[in-house]
Amino acid sequence: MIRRPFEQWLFEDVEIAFNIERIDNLLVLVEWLDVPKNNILSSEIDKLRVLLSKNVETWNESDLEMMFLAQFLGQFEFNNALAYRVFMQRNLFTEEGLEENHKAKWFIATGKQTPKKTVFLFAGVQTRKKIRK
Amino acid sequence: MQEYKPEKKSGNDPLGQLLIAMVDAQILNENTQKPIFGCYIIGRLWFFTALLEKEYSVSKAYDATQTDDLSEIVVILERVKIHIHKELGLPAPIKN
Repeated sequence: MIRRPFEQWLFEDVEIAFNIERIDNLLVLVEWLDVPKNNILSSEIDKLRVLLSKNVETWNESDLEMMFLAQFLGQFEFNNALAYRVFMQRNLFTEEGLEENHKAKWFIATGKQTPKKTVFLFAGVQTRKKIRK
Repeated sequence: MQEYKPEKKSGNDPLGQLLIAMVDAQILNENTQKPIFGCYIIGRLWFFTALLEKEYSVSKAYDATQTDDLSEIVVILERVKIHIHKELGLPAPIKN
C-alpha cells in the first residue's frame, strides 16, 4: 500500500489507490448546494468578507486560517455538548497507508473526546501567494 | 496573456489532501452509504465536495469576497449542521 506524507497526495493518486471516480453531478452534492440566492449577510460576516477582500492577496495560509476562517466558522457553532463537535489537528489514519502523523486540520465528527463518525472536513487550505521573506 | 498560473502547485494539491482525508473518514466510519462532505479553499475561492461510495464530485468555485457567493456559502454550511442533526436524531438546530 502507498505510504506518503499527507500533503503529497494528489487527487489522481487517491482515485487510483482507492478506486474512486470523479463524476460531474453527484446527487448529494447537487442537493446540498442547491440553495436560494439571498445576498444577505450578517454584519459580522460582512465585516469578515471585507477583511478578506482587502487582505487575501497578502495573507499566507496561517493568516487566512486565523484572520478569516477561524472567525467565520466560529459563527456556525458546530458544537453540541453531547453529540458532535469540531476537532482540529487530529489523526485520521488507517491501515490503508496513511502515516500516523497525518492530521486533519478541521473536521466535524460525532464524539466528545475523540472523533467517531466524521461528517464534514476542511482540508487543503492554500493561498495563491507566498509572503516574501 | 502575460502569465498563467495553475490552480494548484505540483505536489501541493488541496483537492488531493481533502480527498484522502474524506476517503480515510469513510473507511473509519465503516459506512460507504452515508456521504462525507468536504471543502477546500484556495485563497478567496471555496470548493465543496461530496463522496458517496466510490464516487465524488467537486463544486464550482465560490468567491468568498463576493456577497452573493458568501451568502450561499453560509447557507451551505448551515445545511451541514442540519444534516448532522437529522443523522443523529437531534432537534433541528437553532439558526444564529
